[in-house]
Amino acid sequence: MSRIRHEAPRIWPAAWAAALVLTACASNPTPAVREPGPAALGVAGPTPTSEIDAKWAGRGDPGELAKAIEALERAIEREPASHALRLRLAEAHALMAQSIVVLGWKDQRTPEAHLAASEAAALTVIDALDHDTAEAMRTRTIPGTTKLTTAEGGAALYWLAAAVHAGAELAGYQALALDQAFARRVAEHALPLNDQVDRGGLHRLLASIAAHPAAPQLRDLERAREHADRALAIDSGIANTLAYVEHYAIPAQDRAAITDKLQQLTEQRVTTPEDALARARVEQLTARIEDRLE
Amino acid sequence: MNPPKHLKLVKRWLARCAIGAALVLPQSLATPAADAQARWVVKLGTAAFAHAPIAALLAKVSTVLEAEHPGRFWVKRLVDGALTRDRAGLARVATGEAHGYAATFDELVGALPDAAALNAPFAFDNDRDADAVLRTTGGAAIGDALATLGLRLVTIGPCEARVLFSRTRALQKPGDALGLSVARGPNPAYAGLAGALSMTQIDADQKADVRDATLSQLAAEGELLEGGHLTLTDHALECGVLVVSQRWIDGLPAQMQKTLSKLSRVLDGGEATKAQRAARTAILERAKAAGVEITTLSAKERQAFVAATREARTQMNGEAGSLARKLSLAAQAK
Repeated sequence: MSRIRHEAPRIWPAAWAAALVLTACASNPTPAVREPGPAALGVAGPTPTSEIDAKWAGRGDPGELAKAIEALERAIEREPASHALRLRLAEAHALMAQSIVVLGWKDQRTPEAHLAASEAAALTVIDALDHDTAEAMRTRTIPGTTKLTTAEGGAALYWLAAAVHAGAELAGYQALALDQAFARRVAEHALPLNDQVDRGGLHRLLASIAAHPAAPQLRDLERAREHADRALAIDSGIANTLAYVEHYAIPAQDRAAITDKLQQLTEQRVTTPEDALARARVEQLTARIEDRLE
Repeated sequence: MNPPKHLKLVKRWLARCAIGAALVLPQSLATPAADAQARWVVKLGTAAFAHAPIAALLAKVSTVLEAEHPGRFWVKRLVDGALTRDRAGLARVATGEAHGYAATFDELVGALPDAAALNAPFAFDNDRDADAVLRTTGGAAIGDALATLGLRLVTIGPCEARVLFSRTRALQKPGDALGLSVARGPNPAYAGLAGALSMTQIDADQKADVRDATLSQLAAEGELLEGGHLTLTDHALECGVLVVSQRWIDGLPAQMQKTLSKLSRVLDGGEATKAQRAARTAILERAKAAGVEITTLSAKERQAFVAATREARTQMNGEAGSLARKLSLAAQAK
């Protein structure tokens, strides 16, 4: 078994490394954090859940995803205590940010604004679970202890880490120098709580950070490979196969692995909007992959 | 009807061959030939990640080559240490296996141990003095020493100063560090400072009381996220360098050699230094928010550190005529 799976669920594990934002989001929040049913939302008439589900199903289209975000915001107004709705909102904003960057979608808000909204939604959930942790994290600091112990808390920490890291990636070196370590530490805390969140997104994020750290001495390709492997074990879809190539095979210049994974990518079917997004990134990568190989 | 299993296997094999060929063929086709229109593969590397100021220097090399010789160079930018997985990047450039490299200070010292003299504790009073030395005599001395290794220096930078971070107490005067542990560093200057301040050196993988590192390194490691005491000693200078392979340049057509010889005039490591230093204020603000106590030394307090480390500096002066001696003399001249 890998080092990752052997590790005790330490509250704030020590240093690994830091970097790629755009891999941070995919689909499917947490098995433990499903959309609440109408009873949980406490409203009558057409259920917000059905409305949101319908919009969410069409999230491969910019207009539909924007409507899903609006529907989620309305539902949160009605049910402000719903963590599931807020986590879905964090996911929706992250997906929109990535779609604008990768697919060139047009939206009234910038990717940075969507990532800030994703971060805010995640922080609201953290705040409800542990106010002190949320207060510390709002100033990008790490508290000595935390009361977050549930899978839901793990999902909230993941979406926070993913949004912070994605925002830093967009902003460039200075933001990464400041925020990469914070994102890594938050993600590491989420790991023992909910490592399957976002179909292995947490492992994609940590693989990215291990492979592309702001300080080169922190690079740990073995760690990156373990996270990429774990992501693939959780979900062998396009996003995780791509993560293996980007965060392990290319930095390690492992041509055999690159050939193998690119072959797999040609065979993998696009079944979700997240797959389509990942497929677009695969095409961008393969078009210039030889520029990144010795 | 589903195709027979063997047809699927053949199809998969053919697809694999196609991918393999796509990865291998462009390389072989790009090998420079006698043909004046040959496309020259240029392998540029760095251990840094793609966003780093030092990696930005490599991007600028690509821009210059493409502008001067459109379509004649195929530049591969191998960031994230992709060029250094089995051998040091500078060594590979020296032999001509790779063509250019943006090295970190540790990598520079790995190739030129005397360059550690730049790290001599409290050798420079401030950034301005350090920059002046690197632009003139100090930079020339490093360039000459690199030339003996077959490396042509293009530019020096980015540069960043090291500071002291203590987990236990503020370090406002040399005696404050007495008895604290500090991790062993990659060159003799670390030991010199540790000895001068009576700190105990421990293995780098152990958690030490004191960190002797650059601000960006401390930030990247997450050291500043949970409080502590930061003293802005700026006691040692760490600089990256951008070099190209002399052997490679010598084998290029004259016009291309001319372009490469102009690189040092076009590329300025000082810009990368500015980008690195621009992060300083933001890092300090963030550290303060995390409860880190930040100490800025007064001139008198700094002078106490300068006096306490005099012997450590002297020990790094090196022999007459050496790079270490040249760098020491250049620093003292400021």
